Amino acid sequence: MKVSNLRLITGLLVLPAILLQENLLGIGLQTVYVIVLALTHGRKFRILPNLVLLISVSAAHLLQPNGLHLLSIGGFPITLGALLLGARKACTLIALLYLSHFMASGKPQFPGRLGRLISLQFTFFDAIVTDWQTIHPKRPFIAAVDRLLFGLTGQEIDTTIPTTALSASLQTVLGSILHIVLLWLLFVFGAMEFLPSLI
Amino acid sequence: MTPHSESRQSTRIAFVALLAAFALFLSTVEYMIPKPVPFMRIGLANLPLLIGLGILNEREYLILALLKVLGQSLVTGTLFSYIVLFSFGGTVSSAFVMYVLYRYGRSWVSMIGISAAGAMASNITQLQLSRVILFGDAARLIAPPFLIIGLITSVILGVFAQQFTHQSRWYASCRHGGDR
Repeated sequence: MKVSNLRLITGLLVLPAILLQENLLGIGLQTVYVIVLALTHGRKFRILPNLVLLISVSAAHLLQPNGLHLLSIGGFPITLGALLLGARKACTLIALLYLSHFMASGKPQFPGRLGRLISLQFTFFDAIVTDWQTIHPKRPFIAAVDRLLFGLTGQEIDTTIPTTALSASLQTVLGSILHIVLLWLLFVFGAMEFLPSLI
Repeated sequence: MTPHSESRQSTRIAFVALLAAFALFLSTVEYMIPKPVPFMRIGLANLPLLIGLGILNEREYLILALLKVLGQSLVTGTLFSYIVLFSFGGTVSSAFVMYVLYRYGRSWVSMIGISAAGAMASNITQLQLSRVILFGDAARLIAPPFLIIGLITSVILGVFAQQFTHQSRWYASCRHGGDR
């Protein structure tokens, strides 16, 4: 089995464990696990977008008061239930985002005509990135873009799909099984209330 | 299929892939531009969709829209996340509105109007999705700045697309090279 397919399958098998998780601590731990998984597979973690998502989704949920009343800001009630619900939802979204990063890190290839089209798109993309450096902003811009597009349209592009995808070793397969088991265990612990519910 | 029509078809497919690659390149450029607010988007990657209106047929245009979403989400790794829903919803709705306007209202709507209508369709779809997926009713709070910024950037993009379609020799050769 190819590494790209193995990561796709691992992600798909883990997806329900994250989506169905209702325990805040459980989803928090799953989120950290998935972020580490993405980081160890070459993806980057940026704190600010995740923080913005966490704060904005939690704040949006405050508009529907729910549970213990904590305090009021200018007559607006801040409730614990709404805050925790928002935080859980934000954690689910962040976990899904990094799971997606992990799944895509193996560079999955699509079969058939769609696969060839995407392959051709990326070949052109590489050529544009290379040729773009020759465009000078001071030149007439549209004429320069024209030259670039004419050059690319006339190019002979190889549209065959590269077959250099790595095969997964036994160690990689075992690692994937471990990820699936651990993330499902966190779901089970959350569902059976082995993890504190925080409310 | 004759060798001539086969080669013509592969040329058409190359046009679609080239425009999709250009969209991918522009979305990478946009990603590198610092933005004062997190939800602000310039929508540079919509430029190939605007240019494609005069070059591609319905099927090719739909493929271009799908390739734009797939390419972007593969590069950013968001293909299997909720973000792809925003990208897909926004792109497909704006592509649909722009295509219909171009086909049936070209004589009374300029490229600027088409660009603005496409951006509004995309932004409204994304606001609806954010209401369902992220923010609930609080989505209405981000609607005004989101729509206003979208309108301004789409007008600027429309001006560039209008200039490009009038001045570009490549665009002219594509239009004359293949009857849609």
